This record gives sequence, C-alpha cells and structure tokens, in this order.
Amino acid sequence: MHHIMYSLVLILVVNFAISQTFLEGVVVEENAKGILAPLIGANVYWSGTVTGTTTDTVGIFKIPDDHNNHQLVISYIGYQSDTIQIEDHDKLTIVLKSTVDLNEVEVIFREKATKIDFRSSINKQIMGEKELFKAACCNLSESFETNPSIDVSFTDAVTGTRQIEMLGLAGIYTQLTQGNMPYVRGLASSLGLTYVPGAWVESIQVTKGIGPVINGYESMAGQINVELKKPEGEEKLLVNTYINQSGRSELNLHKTFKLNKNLSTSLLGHGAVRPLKTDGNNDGFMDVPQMQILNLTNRWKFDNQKGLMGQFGIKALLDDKVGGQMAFDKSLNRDSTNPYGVGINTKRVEGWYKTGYVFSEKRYKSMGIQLYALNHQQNSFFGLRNYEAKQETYYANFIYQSIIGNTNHQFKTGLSFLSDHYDEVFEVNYFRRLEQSSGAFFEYTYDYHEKFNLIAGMRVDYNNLFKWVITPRLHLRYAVSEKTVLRASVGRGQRTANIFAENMSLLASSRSFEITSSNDKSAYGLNPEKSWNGGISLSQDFRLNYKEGVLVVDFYRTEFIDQVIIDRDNDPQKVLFYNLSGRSYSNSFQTTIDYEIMHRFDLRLAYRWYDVQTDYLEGRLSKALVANHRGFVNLAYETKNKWFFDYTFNVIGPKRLPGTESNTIPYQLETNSPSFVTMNTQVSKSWTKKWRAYIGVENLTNFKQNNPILSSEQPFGRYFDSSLVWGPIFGRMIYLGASFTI
Amino acid sequence: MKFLILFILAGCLYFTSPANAQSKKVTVDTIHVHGICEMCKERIENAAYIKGVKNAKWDAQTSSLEVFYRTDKTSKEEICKSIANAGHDNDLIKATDEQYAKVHACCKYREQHQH
Repeated sequence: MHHIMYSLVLILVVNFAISQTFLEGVVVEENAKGILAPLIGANVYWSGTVTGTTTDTVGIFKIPDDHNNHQLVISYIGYQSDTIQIEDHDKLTIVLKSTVDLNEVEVIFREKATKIDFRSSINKQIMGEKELFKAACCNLSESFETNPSIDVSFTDAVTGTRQIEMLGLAGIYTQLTQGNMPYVRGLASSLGLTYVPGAWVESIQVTKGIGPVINGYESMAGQINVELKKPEGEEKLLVNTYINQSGRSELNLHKTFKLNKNLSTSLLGHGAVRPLKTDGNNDGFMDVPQMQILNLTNRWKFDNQKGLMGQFGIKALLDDKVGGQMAFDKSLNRDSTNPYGVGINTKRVEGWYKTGYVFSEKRYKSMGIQLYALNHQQNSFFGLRNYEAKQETYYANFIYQSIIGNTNHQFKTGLSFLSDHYDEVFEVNYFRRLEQSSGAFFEYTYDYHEKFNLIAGMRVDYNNLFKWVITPRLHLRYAVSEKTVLRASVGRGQRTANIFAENMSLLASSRSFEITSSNDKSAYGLNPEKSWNGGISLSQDFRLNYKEGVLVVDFYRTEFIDQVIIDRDNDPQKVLFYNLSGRSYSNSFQTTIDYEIMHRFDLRLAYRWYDVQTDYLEGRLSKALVANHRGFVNLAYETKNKWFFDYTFNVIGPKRLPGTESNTIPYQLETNSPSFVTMNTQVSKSWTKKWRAYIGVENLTNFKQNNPILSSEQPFGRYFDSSLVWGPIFGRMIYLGASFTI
Repeated sequence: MKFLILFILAGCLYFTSPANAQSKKVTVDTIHVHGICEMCKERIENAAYIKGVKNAKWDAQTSSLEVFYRTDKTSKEEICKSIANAGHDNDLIKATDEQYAKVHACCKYREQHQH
C-alpha cells in the first residue's frame, strides 16, 4: 500500500502484477562477535505489498521483481526489520541486527472489506470485492449502500435514476474515473453510474476532498475511481445472476483468456431487463421504468516481459428505458398528451489504450500514456418534451515519473489533452459546444519514512472557452504515532456544467427551463464552475476489549467561486439557471467507527452532518433535498462455513423541499420532508469458493414517500413535478441471485 | 442534533460495556506462524480462535500471529497445537505431514522458497 498514491496512475497504466525477473540475495545476522551467519526463514517482501518470500536453509531468497516498488523489507522475529532501497539487479547481502525488544514488529494490517489506505496522504477508502458483495445488486449507483461517505438517492420518481452525493454536493462535483481515465461525465452524468455493472468491478477507490492533479482539474468534492476486473487476474470465469420481485433480471459474465505469456484478454458482458410495469404507490405511474440494457467490454493486456506493458479495450452499451404512466405504450402514444410517457435511449461506444514503460535499470523511472475516445448518443422524451444529445470526447495523458536524488523525493509530470464536443437539441433550442483544454502538470511527492508525506501538485491548462485554468492542490499526511494519522488537503477544481444532462430529472416536470446567459460563447452562456475545497481528517486506531477498531473524524469545506445555480425555489413552474452571485458553500463533518465486535463480526457506525448554503435570487437558502443529518449502522457477520449476514440501518434527517407556496393549495408541499429510516439486509452463502448464492431485502421497513409525483393525475398540467423526491419511491424489495466463479 | 446525541450515546453505551471483561487475566503473545497468503490468514486465525482467545491477528508480511488470550482458560501451547493441527508450523509445534497435506496448494509454505 505504501506506494499506492505515488504510483496510482502507473499501476493502472502498466499493471505490474506479472513480473518477469527475480531479485536474489542472502539474509545474514551479525552476532555479538561480529560474525555473519545465514538467517533461515526471514521474511522478504516489497514494502506495502503481499509479494514476498522467505529465505531458505542457507539464507538465500529469490523474489519476483516489482517494478512499482523499490523498497524491500526484510523482517525476522527478534531482529530489527530493515527496509532497503533497491536500485539495481545486483545480488544483495542484507545484515539484520538483533534486537532485544520483541515488540518491534511491523504494524499489523487487517484485511477489511473497506479499508482506509493508512499510508497514503489522501483520505482514500478502498472498497474491495468483499464490500461490493454486500450490495448484491447491480451497478455502481447501488454499490455505495454500505458507504456512509456517499449518499445515494433517487433523482425523480419517473426515470428511476439514482444519484450520489459527496460532502453534500451533487455527484457531478465528484470526478468519476475508470482506470483513472475520464468516465462518468458529460452526457452520462445522470445515468453513467448505472453503466458500470457491479460484477465487473474489482475495486473502488473513494477519495474524499480534492483528488490528484494527474487526472485533470474536474474533481471538486471527491474522486471515485473504479477498477474493472483484469484479463490477467485470477478469475477465469464468472457467471452472476440476479432477480428481484419487480422482475428486474440481470446477468453478468466475465471470461478471461491467457493467449500466451505476453498476451491476455477478457470479455465482460452484462444484460439487464425489467419487462414488468409496477405501480406500488398507486399513482398511475410506473415506480421505475421498464428497461433493457446490453453492455459489453473486451479488454486486452500485453507485457513484453522487458518493461513494456499495456492494455486496451473497447466498450459498447445500449440502454433503453420506458417509463411514465402505466398505460403508456411507446409505439402508440409517443407524441400524444395522454398518457404521459418517458423514454431514454442511449448508445455509447468507448475505446481506450494505456501503455507504460519501466526503465529496467532504474525501476523508479517510468512513463506511461493513456488514450481514450468516446461517442455517446442519447435520444429521449419526457412527455412532449424532447431532448437529444451527442457527445464526442477524446482524451490523452502522458505521464513521466522519476525521483529527485533518492526515492524520498518523487515526481510525476506530464501533458494532457481533453476535447469534448456536444450537440444538444432541447425542445426547439440547439446548443453546440466544442471545449478543448490542453495542459501540463507536475506533482511532487515527499516521503519521510512513514511519518510524514506530502503531495504537492500543480496543473496549468488552456481551455479554448475559458482561457487559463490554474489548479494547485496539496495533500499532507502526518503520522502522530503508529495509531494516529492526521491528513489535510486543499485545492482548486473546475468543471463545465451540462445543464440538461445533469438535470434530466427536472425534464420530467412541467417546469420551463430558463437560462440567464452572461456571455454568448461559453457553455449555454454560463460560467464554468470553480471551487476551493479544503479538509482535515483524523484516523485513530484503537483497541477495545482486545479487538481492534478505527475511528475516523473528518471535516471538509467547499467554497464556490463560480457555480451554475439550479434554482427550483423561485417559481414552482420554472427552473432557473444562472451564475452564482454571492456565496455558495458546503460544510461536511463525518465520524465513522469501524470495530470488530467478535471474530468475523464487524460493526460500522457513522454519523454525518452537512451544511450546504447557496445565495439564490431570493436570498440564501440551504440546498434543497439534502439531509443535514444522517446516521448509519452496518453489521456484517461471517461464519466459519461461509455464511455471510449483512445488515444496514440508515436514519436520514429532514430535507428542505423546494418552494411550492405559490401553487394552489392541493399542490403545496411542506417546507421540509420528515426524517425516515431505511434498512437493508442480505444473507449469502458460498461453497468451495466457486458457488455463491444470496438473498436480500431492500427497504425492509417498507417505508415509501407518499405521492412522490406532484399532480400525478395531470401530467400535462401546470403543477406536474416528479423531481421532488426525498425518500424511497418503492417499498420492500426482495431479491435473490447466484454466482459461479472459477 | 438529536441524531448526533443519539449516536454518541449509542457509541458510549457500547464501548463502556465490555470493560468488565478486562479484569480477567489476559495476556498477549506474538507467535511466528508459517504461511503465505490471505487463505492462510483465514485458516490460521480460525485455528487460533479456541476457547479463551480474545483476539488473533496474523500478518502475512511478518508471518507473526498476535494473540490475546485468557491464561486461566488456555495457553500458548494449546493455541500452537490448534494451529499446527490446521497445518501451519509455528514457534512451538511443527505440523505433521498429514496435517500439512490438508492446506490448499497455494498455501504450501514449506515448498515456497524452493521454486
């Protein structure tokens, strides 16, 4: 884990898992008289990894080269552990010194479902497969049920889209990457999370606060990076199925092929359908739309065994959703005013190529290139309102990594280019935008043993619409003791709002869209969004009743310099878009306790508080539909014979509802939603590591928002609004599924 | 605010209750146990959790098992015996060949440094 941060990009660019050469050496002890004797059974491993070996009967070891790591740790009970810098291939002789103090053992790492990277200066949680299993279904938007840092809620009561929120800010302020390349952005802002099937995911890294500069300037509140399963990984075949009581059925496939020692490939497939129409709350509208999704990926990985490695892949997606009133039939009533229907059809093709080269004589030096291209098309209608959009994106990033003097001072530098071309037709308006930005970045990492790290990054980009973008960012980590770590980060972020794609839920309403432009050549005449984000966090390991636990307390503040304000309060029949004048900020405080109550029985307790305020035309208001308080409990128990029990409890505080006081009486809402509780549970069992079956219940207490659609009886009337959703839109949902892995 | 107070209360309640358990005689030992991977870790820890053991954590990097146990209920020998029985050589007891044969192919730590 030691170098995860420093080589974040390169790990992904180059994937060092398969190693070609070995490092050899001998471990000896020096006794009181200064005589050297071989040490048998000493542990030798690459720092922060599990790649390791032990010395043989004459003290000799042979360990696979790890290009990503040049710190070799040698440990032996009763001797001082030694960390040495590996600069070349010469055979090593390592002398360990005896120590009287047996307590000088390395920090013990616990393998947790979710772990916070202890040694990284970035407040980053790594959600592994175990954590992802807890949410059996189905895609990324549903993978965060057990993560208290991320709030997941429905955007509206028609499209069935779930959105995420970090630090009280909408998901658009969190940069979503896949393999550290751009992923969910632009037109995919609303639905993109559903395009990553959970069964394809190997791990998710969640960074709170500002991210590193290497991936561009768009991360403002956080970063979520998704790593898909790799062609060279251990899994040869996976078949995973899921079905729930609403008829939603999903099938996932993953198959890897090792063609030869240099080349491997994999196929990832995902299909999902929901053929049935369900209306649990009797408002005449389907709770969630009917859908059909087909999602395919082919990945390739090569490694010439001499330091040159790379991977490329292609992904294609077809998604068709039809929602609205129960009586709606797309083929018959597409343009009629009775019944009301919503259709969203998406076609998406992506390709990427990543390659990296590690200088074999100087393993700290490497370079990599990332290339990415995307074509995204969406055709949709919401009643009589049409929205059609196209996006073409090209991205290139070149990264060079080396050291200054020794490996305590590392740097990454490079150049990047991002081009987005949007064509949108909304009702009768046509919007076109070509936005290109080219930039250079430099990131310096200072590492003082395991006590103190610093990552200082700076990037300068030139954007054809918004001129120079300067992005400084800083991350610090200080280990007060072995058990206490303090982290701080501060930095700037910028993004361009795509007001229709990001607010698609508002299209399923009678609100008219009004844009107050301040200039004519930028995006919709609106300014780019700019913010500063700063935060501190404390992570404290503790031991209670002989069991280990971790307490994390963090505070983050985001202050917008520029923001595109989405104003639903001014008039319930309108949504206004205008540039921020005045202030807009978010404060977020969270405390989390992870504790092992018993062997194989884990508890996670969390509480978080948000204060999100924005100056609207009508004055300063707290952000609508954001709960200021949330409490969270997760219990996970695993038996010896592989039964897994998981239970999640959420209590969500009141949310401010957008103003409806100018509506006639029956269409006025309360000013705040009530607080409510949701519970999820899942039981699963695995057999011989190959088979796994699960059954679970979402929303155990069957709590639903009554009448999630305002004026649902008159969807073409003036008061219709499906975007005022504050709670669950469907009730108790039972699901089951199985997976087979070899 | 209500929630905050509730949470702090719940937290306090939970974390104060097990304190009585600490009056019993509990000792900590570090035992060197041979093993390789995450599968070994699971096997070793499960084996170490015999009656009287409060906590057992094995670290793959250092091959050391840190174990908290009640001296009135069990002993280091008992724990080591249980671990050897699961197939893992340790400070005190070497697993028999039959016991060692039970561990999964990827966990064959005795052969590890020979290939």
